[in-house]
Amino acid sequence: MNAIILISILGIFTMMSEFIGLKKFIYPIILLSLVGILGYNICSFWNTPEVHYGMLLHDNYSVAFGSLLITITLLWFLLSRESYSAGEFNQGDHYALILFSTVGGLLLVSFTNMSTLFLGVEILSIPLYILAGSRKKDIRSVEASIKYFILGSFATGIMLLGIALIYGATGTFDLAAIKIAASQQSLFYVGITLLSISFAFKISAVPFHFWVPDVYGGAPTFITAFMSTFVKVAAFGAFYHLLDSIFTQVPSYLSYTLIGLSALTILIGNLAASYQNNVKRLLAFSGVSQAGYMLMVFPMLSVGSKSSLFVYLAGYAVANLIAIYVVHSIEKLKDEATVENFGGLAKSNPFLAFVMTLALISLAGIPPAAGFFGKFYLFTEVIKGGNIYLVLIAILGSLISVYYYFKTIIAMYSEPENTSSAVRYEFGFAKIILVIMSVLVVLIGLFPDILLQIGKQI
Amino acid sequence: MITTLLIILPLVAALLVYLAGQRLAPTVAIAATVLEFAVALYAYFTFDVAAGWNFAVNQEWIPSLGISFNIGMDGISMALVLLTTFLLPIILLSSLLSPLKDKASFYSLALIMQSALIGVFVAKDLFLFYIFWELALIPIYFICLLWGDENRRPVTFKFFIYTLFGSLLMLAAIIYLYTVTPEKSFALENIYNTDLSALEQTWVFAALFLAFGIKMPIFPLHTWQPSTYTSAPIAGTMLLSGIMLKMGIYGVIRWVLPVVPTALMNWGWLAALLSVIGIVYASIIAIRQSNYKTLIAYVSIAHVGLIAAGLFSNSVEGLQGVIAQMLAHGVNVVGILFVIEILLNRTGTLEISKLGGLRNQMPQFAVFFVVIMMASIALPSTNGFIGEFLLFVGIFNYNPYLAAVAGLTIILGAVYMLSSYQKIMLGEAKSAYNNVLDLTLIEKSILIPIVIVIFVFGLFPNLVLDLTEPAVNEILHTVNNSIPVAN
Repeated sequence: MNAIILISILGIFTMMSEFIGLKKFIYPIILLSLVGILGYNICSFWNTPEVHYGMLLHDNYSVAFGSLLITITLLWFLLSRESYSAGEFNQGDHYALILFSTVGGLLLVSFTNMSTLFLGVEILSIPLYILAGSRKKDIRSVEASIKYFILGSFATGIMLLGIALIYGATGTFDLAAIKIAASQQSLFYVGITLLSISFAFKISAVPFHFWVPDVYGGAPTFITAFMSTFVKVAAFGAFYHLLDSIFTQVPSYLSYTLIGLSALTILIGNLAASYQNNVKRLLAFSGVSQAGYMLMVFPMLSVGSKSSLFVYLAGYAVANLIAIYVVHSIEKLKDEATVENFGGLAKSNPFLAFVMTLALISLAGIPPAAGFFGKFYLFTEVIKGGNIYLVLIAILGSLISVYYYFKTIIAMYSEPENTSSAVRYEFGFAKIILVIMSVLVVLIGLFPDILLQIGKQI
Repeated sequence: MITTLLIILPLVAALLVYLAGQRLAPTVAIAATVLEFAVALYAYFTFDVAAGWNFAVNQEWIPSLGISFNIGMDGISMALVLLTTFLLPIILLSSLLSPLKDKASFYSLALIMQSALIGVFVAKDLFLFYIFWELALIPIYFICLLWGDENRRPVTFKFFIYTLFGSLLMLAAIIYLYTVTPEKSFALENIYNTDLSALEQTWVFAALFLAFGIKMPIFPLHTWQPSTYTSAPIAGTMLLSGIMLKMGIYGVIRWVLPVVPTALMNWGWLAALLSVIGIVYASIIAIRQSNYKTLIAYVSIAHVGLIAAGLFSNSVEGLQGVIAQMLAHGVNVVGILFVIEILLNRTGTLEISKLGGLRNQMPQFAVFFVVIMMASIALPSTNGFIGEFLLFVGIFNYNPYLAAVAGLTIILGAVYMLSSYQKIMLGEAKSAYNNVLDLTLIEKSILIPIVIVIFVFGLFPNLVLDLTEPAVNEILHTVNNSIPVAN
């Protein structure tokens, strides 16, 4: 809860920095504050769970997911610095919006009341509607913004309706009270279904994924990086928290629906990704399929499934940030990050090619990267839960995914070098961050036990 | 400790090689592999056959999932580690013949691959085994992709998809096995102790058989292999056929036979049958090949078919034959691939019809070529003989008819090997090759150790067979103990 307040203050301060003349210093201030808040948040991991004002729950789950979210924001700030040096965007506004979005994400992983859930979704999304359209003269950016806004508000509307119906059935907004009052009324189940649909939209599960390629593809790439990692972690954290709080066991109809959604998402996400030639859109669809893998553990609601979700999300977020950053670098030199434009990257910039390879290997789930362990752990939990057929579908999906991830890798390592395409990079800030993140990807893959221990405590 | 050293040494060497730069990279890499071989030899001479698992290390790794860094060597592992460490210096030396671009990366990848291969052979934890199994795939993929010929992109892609498909199925089987262990652990003993119904065993067997069968490869899972062998750089083909396919065979011995014995009893015949079909099929195709490297790729399928048939014979002779033949095949195929490299280096072609009469210009080469060829068609007193003999004994006891069909390999093998030798080395000398040179010093330094091993192992097979016999008995003991007694 303190983290939420502190980041809100930081956001307001950032907005005001423009006219109180602190514009130059705002970047280091944000970084230092975020590091401080992250440290503070991690330290509160062992505190006894408590509910604040009947609105926010402070327990290990919210601390763990909150720390993950703050880490992503921090990494985003570290990586996106160069995007603002050209002066195309108003730095202060963007930073403030990202911070507000972070607050929304934090609310989402710690709500204990339906109204907080709704607030969180709105605070998370509204800044992103603006940010998606921040390249005002680019028609695709504007399209992304409008599409995201219209479909996003539609989903929020469905969510509100769901909350209202649940209120109608149980007479309360409080999760603990809903759990007790949960009855066999059809009204209640309709409400839960509507809520699940709106979450399926947020986590981009098939068939609610149509906005993803256009929004991710049209928005400025560094905003896509934030949307495809932060929003996904927050939405997954919230959805799981919701189901975990109001059910001891997912009702069978919902469980089958989730399994079906998951299988569909894995297959369609991967198939669609394999037809993409633009790496940014490819990553967008790969994000859809990754959502499918994570949905697999939802029907179980066990300690293991919670923990495997957390480990998977952590690995996914880091690898995806790296991959999108590399796409961003390519886009700076050429208009589009098509697979062909990655040709010869291994020669013109071996470092960038290497980190991209590592990120893609992780996303594909091949050892020793983090993504492999995440998948392995996820599959283990699903098989324990008795859904071996779902795992076989996921394996089929993974196989398809290797096709498109390696399409990019092959292009980087074997196309003849196109001299005009060389991406030159100064040894600088972003490079250090990329090294750290790559090491993190390998470390999570090789020594996942620390993360696992955290995961089991939440 | 030695086992850990064997895994870590190549990794450290890979880093050093990368840092050493292009000029020094080959020297450092070869020195490191020779050192590694010395360590393996030391392990071999201090190996205590009676003790079962030697040099074992068991360190917790991911305790919450029952995963540990659990390694050690029994006789079978020791034999394969010896093979790997013996072949690596030879493979790296042979890659000196053709100039490579970006040597440092190439040698680093080869060393990482060595580390992973050794890891596969010494892992006593199923999860660890899987990690090393997959780790071995990445370097070889990049070796084929970066240094292969002009067809490399679609070919390596096919190779990667095939093997990854197998690996993923194996992953599912591994996780399933893990969930049924009472201790929730991946350790060898616990995996051996699982109590699976016949149906469960069948599914696990199917998944594992696909994974290992693709790697070997067994007919009809072999379609990635000829094109990959043909388009990979020579060192890549050597790594693939000399060592990597042994991963599949070893995997069956270690992780299939003792784990799913009932399924083996019910379905082993099918696997053996497919293997034997593969022998005949590949041999016939080999006879028709015009490119010598592709021919060798098919020959490799035929040889592996025989080994695989022995795997499912459920007898000491059969399994001992499998191990002996694995070692012999590893050495011989690397030898014959090196012969190919020399041919390519001198004449610029591998089309058999364009070659001929080389013996006059290259008498020394002709001698080495004959010896290696005889070894690969299993002439007595060469290393190929003892393995093939034991395999036939094992298969004959299992099913005489199968042995009869498999026996065709002796005749067909002689046909394709001798006729290709005849076409390449004998006959009328072609004027284009009047000036080719005989072997250089470095080439001899590669061929001589190979020939020494061919004869030493051919004449004293017990050097290895004594080493592996207790381990083989142990495996068969586990297999036969866990088959429910029919009543």
